Amino acid sequence: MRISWLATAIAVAMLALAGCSSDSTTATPAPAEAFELDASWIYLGPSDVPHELKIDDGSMAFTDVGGNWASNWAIKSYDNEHHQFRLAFTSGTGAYLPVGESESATYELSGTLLTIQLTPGVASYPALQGAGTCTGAADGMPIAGCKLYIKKN
Amino acid sequence: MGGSAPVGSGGSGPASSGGMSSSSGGTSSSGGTSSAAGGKSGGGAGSGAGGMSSGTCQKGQIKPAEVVIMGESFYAIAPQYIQNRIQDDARKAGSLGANETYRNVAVSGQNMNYIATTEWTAATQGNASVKFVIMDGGGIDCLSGSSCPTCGSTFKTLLGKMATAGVQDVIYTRYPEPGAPPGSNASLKSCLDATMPTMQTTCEGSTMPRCHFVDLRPVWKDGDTTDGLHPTTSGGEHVGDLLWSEMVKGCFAQ
Repeated sequence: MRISWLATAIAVAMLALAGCSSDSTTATPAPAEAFELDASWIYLGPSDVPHELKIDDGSMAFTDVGGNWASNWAIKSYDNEHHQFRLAFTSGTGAYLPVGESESATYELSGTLLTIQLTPGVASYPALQGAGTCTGAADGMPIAGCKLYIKKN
Repeated sequence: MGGSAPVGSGGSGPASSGGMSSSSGGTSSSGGTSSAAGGKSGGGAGSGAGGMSSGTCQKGQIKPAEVVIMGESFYAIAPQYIQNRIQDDARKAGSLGANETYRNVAVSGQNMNYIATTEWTAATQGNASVKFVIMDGGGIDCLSGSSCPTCGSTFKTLLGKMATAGVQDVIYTRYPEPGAPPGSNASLKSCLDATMPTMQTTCEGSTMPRCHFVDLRPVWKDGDTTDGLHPTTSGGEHVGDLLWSEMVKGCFAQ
């Protein structure tokens, strides 16, 4: 009997909340949370040539510090909670990297150190291995698709 | 092929140093070195040309695999210009075979604690012998914060481990002036300026292994880096030649 009363009370409360919700449909949506990686980053390794990564305003640019290549990408989606993002290729010059029309990425941010694991395509997000080092725990070898950056001052 | 010792010294390493070396680093843009504290030079030091070896050093005292490079991206990032230059110099001098290489366990992005623990473990994995070490450390600590108060003690602990493992000589390299152009990264420079004297004191206070503090700032010129942190080809040549000249002077891995 008591349970039945409680269920009724909950149902009424939910209906009331739903009513409140319908009233709020005209309210301004909350602004999207800014991408936590928005900044300039210096590449630390392990296996690509030195470059900089600039992330801001929905775009990502990889630029060779020697000026020999650059690539620009649109950030199609990002998820600060799950540390993931997706990219679509916009433009490139020289022998740029990464290569492909789209990329999916998983990342870890530890202080000023950023580890990004990229994989071509949008089928799935890659598993992040070697966070903080981009090298295999067993053999110390560079992990393919893994890039290590430090935030630029 | 590999190591060496000054003939008649009764052992490897500098004949007279007792642990100290060229803390002032290089003196010229050619990659030459200054101090003679490292013992017999055999004519190699100061040349900056690389590839010159001491005629007074015993050959074959240290195997290439017993020469280990530790640190972070300065030595780890591909292509490893510095290591490649040292090896080129060593091959020209007949101290390293055409297909032989030193062991590089440096890992990008790592702080001093990682270097002193995980990298040292990697260097000695499987009871691997290590006789001569080239290393840096503390730069990532500075990039990640504004100081590294523990770097000196961590380095001292590492030197103790090295002594136990039988390491004979260590070259600790002070970072070049950060930024492009060199010195333009004021915040990082400030941290390095505060941290490196402690590393120098720790290094030069070690007699077993003998630790030689080599300052890379004098040989680091415009164009030696483009990102302000890592060497270009010319940066690798300047640093590599300086380190090789120190190795010649101290009869390390000749």
